[in-house]
Amino acid sequence: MAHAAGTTARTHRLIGLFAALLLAAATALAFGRVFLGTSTTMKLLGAAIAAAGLAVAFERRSLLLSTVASGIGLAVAVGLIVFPGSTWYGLPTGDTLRAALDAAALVGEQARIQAAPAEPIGPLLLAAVVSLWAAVFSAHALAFRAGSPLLGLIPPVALVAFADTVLEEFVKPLYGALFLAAALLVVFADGLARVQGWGPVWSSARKGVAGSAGRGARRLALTALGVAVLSPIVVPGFGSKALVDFGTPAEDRVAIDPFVSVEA
Amino acid sequence: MLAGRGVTVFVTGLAMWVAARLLGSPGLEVVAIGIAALPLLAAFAAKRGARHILVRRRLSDVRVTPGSRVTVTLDLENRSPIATSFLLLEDRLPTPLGRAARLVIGAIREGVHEQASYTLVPQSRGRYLLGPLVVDVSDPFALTRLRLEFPDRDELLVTPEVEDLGAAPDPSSGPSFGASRARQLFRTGEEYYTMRQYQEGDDLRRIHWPSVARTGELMIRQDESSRRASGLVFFDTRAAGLGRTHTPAFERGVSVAASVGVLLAHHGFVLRLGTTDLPAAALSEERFLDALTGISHAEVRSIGPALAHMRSGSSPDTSLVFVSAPPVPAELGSLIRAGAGFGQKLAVLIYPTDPDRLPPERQAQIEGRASQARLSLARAGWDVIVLPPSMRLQERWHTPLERPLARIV
Repeated sequence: MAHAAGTTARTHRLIGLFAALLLAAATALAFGRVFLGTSTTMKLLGAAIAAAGLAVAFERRSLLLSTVASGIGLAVAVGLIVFPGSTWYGLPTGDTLRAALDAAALVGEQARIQAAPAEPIGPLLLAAVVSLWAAVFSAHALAFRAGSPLLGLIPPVALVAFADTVLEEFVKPLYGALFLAAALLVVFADGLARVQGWGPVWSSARKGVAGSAGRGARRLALTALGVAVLSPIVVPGFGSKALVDFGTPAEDRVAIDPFVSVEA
Repeated sequence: MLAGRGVTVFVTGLAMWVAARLLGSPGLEVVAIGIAALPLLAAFAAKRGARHILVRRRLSDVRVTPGSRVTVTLDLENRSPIATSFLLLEDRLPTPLGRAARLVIGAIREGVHEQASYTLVPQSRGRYLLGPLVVDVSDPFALTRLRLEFPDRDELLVTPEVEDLGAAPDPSSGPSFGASRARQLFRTGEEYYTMRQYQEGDDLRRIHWPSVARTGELMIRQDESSRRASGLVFFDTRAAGLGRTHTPAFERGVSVAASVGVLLAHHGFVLRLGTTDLPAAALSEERFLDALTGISHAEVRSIGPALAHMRSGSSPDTSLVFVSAPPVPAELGSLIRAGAGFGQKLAVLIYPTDPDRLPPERQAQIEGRASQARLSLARAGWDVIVLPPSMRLQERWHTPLERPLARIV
């Protein structure tokens, strides 16, 4: 006979933690491509994992406390990754703050003149760490706190899309596939929580309902991944140029002035 | 087929795909295609898994008393070629039993039986139909809902509360008055009834030698135990009397009728039940309780026709138990006349509302009516018990002060 075997809070948190970490890692790896060299990608990976870990650690606390903790974590991450020389034993100082403010003022200018993949210079690295941290934190808040996994995917997927649009490289669906795996795990964790909200769960599976559902979920996820990875072969126009060119500066674009004076 | 969540995921995938084409992001396009494909794959898997699912409901007991725990077991069998994912079960219940029971069954492998159960604690009597059972077949991502409906329904009988009137009395209320009341009501067993001539086959030990000496013929004593006495429980179901079904007074009346009826049956009486709108009919103990289980109030205003019918079926070897609200003075006469043809008579009069909760004038009025009824009935040879709806019959059954006038007259 089946027995009441709802996923324990611990199991559910572990699934959530794993989903958040995988999403953060996939985003960091895909986004890190905009910089030259793997060491910067690894630093971004570390920052993303730290952001996800902090978000999960403060999941049961208030959103305000979680945001404050995440802000402190971001300051430490910026100090360690972007301005390591300005920190005091890894902790940000006044010099770190001043350096960060100076770098922030130059982000727009550097973004215009640098071509991807770019050198990990201060202003760009600062922008990358902050955007990645914010994307991971907001993704967790939306997916696991607010229960909107699809909304939660938008901030990190925007970074993945950004990296794709600025890079003139051969199509690599690997990053997309990795991100998709993370996204499916997020949807699964949310689905599990929703199903358990229906009523008490009964299962004869030794590993409980998460184990038995996990088997089916793996099959479905692998099939979806397979379809997605094979899509470059079957979907016409895959990897083609953007239909809308967001890369060209506005002043260089061809434009038609509707107020044309036609005179002889 | 796709749940709202599944549609959202699919539409999000499509939107992502459009965005990926606009931005020229192959990574985003891969994500978009995977996300859009997921609900379709999930729907396909759920449909295959839901092809042959059988569900059967079993009750631990189909006849229970209020407050008892009933375990409802759901047997599930997956005869589909693949394992199911989540099955969201909803067993619909009548309102008095609470909200629909909801259970989630984890994956059931192909060809495997599973069982799940839930418990019910019905608080009020009645005939309840459990079901239908609705099963929503979902997938591990909870994106699809394929609804299967199993229309089979099972009946649960919650019989009225039956008080044990044969139990030892509360020592504080006198040592043996309950037994005395029972003897009054059941003055039939092992008691002298008449003398008649000996007939072949009679028990020789019952020959009454003084009568033989007096008459010169073989005479035997026949006591009532050799005749089957009957007991009529009449329940006044008028809404104008004890109120409507499921009001405290009406339910107390049902419980009183059930308790006394069961006591009569246990003492070997042929049991009959009559109500305001149903003529008296002989019933087994089980059918008697079943009848009371489904009893409801009647909208008739006058009890006259029912009393006339009751009177026509009266006989001296029938004990009458009359359960009602304190009758108005105009009804007392016809009640006394109707009861005249019966042997032992017991009236259990239940206040429609607890007098303590009424305003003083109304309280005085209802108590005055009860006193008058008690006086009149006691003078006519009735045994009378008056109860507020919150009091159990057992509390008054053993109280000797209940019929002081009957002992005087």
